[in-house]
Amino acid sequence: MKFNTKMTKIHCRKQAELFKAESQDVDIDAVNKVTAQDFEDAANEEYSKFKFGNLETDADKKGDKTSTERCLQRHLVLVTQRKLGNDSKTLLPQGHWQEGETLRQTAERIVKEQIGSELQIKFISNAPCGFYKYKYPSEMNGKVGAKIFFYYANYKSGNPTKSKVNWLTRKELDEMLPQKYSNAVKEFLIEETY
Amino acid sequence: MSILRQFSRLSICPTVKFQLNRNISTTSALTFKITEQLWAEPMKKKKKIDPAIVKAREERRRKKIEKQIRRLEKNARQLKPIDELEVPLHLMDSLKKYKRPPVQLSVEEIEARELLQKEWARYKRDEYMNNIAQVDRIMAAQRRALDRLYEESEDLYNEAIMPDLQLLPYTISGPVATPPIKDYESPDGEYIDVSKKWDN
Repeated sequence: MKFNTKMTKIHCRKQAELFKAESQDVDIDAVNKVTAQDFEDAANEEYSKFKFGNLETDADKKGDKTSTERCLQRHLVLVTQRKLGNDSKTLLPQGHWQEGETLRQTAERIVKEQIGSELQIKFISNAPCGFYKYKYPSEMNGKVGAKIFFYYANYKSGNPTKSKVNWLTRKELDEMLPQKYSNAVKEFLIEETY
Repeated sequence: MSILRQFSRLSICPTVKFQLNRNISTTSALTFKITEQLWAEPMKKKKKIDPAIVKAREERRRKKIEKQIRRLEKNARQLKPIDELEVPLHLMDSLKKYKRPPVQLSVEEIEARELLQKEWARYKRDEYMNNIAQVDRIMAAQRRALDRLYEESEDLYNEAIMPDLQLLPYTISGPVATPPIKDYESPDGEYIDVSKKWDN
């Protein structure tokens, strides 16, 4: 079955043809009104003139990694610089657990201290989603190494204030994070297929 | 003579012409007179009706008709049950115009479509398996993390597996094909949602 707009277009075309042939039974009103074809043409023209928002934002063009407005189609992860021993590495924000805290409260505190309380995030669950352990190069404070539990949180709004922060895509995560650390992080993140 | 004329009024067919009769008599004449023949009742005198009453009558008549119109419209506003609905007549009349001829496909076209469907099925199956594998991987990572946490300290583990009641209802929105334009003035104005909301 043909639908109604198609029928009005056919009707208008027939009327126009009849008008040309100058036969008697022409509905002059139907021909003088804006035909369905005209309306469609006007709509198409408006669509071609309209400028959509650009997917490539300014941050993309500059290669600025500190803003969240880059790579709007991709999932970005927040990383900071951290000094471990002599060199500074790019890691997810991490810190020590204190007595009397749950792990999730530790995570919230670390974000507030290292990134600033302006950044609004929403934690998904009380349970950690990833695990990583590494050995200190030399014994510190009687401890051999550290165990890191990762918590997943979604960014809501706000800007980081306290330290320089980068938002990285999966590929950049692969490049910038240390090898084994990056493997542990990739386990709980959804893989990018394009 | 005049009596005859008077009686002639009873007759139906037209009779005598008018004759001017002047009767002269020396004695008192005996004249008979019959009353005028009345084929109908004489017209009753038209009484002047109060215009207010006339207007009131007209009003009443109009109100009655309006009430009937309103009742009919109310009937039309109620929705008919689906079993009573019929195809509208203008569609029935123009049924011929709306019908399309059935599509004839060539054998190659049909085969190509079949092969395309199979490829699509394969692609979708791979996508589905990948999704399941990813979900499994993420869940396994969490499980491993929780196991390590249990080895570390049981208290922390118990606190970690408590459900988070502040989480739901939770919404996040994903990427869009074109990002929203900053400070865009919509030509049709702002969209205010006036749909009714029901809560428990």
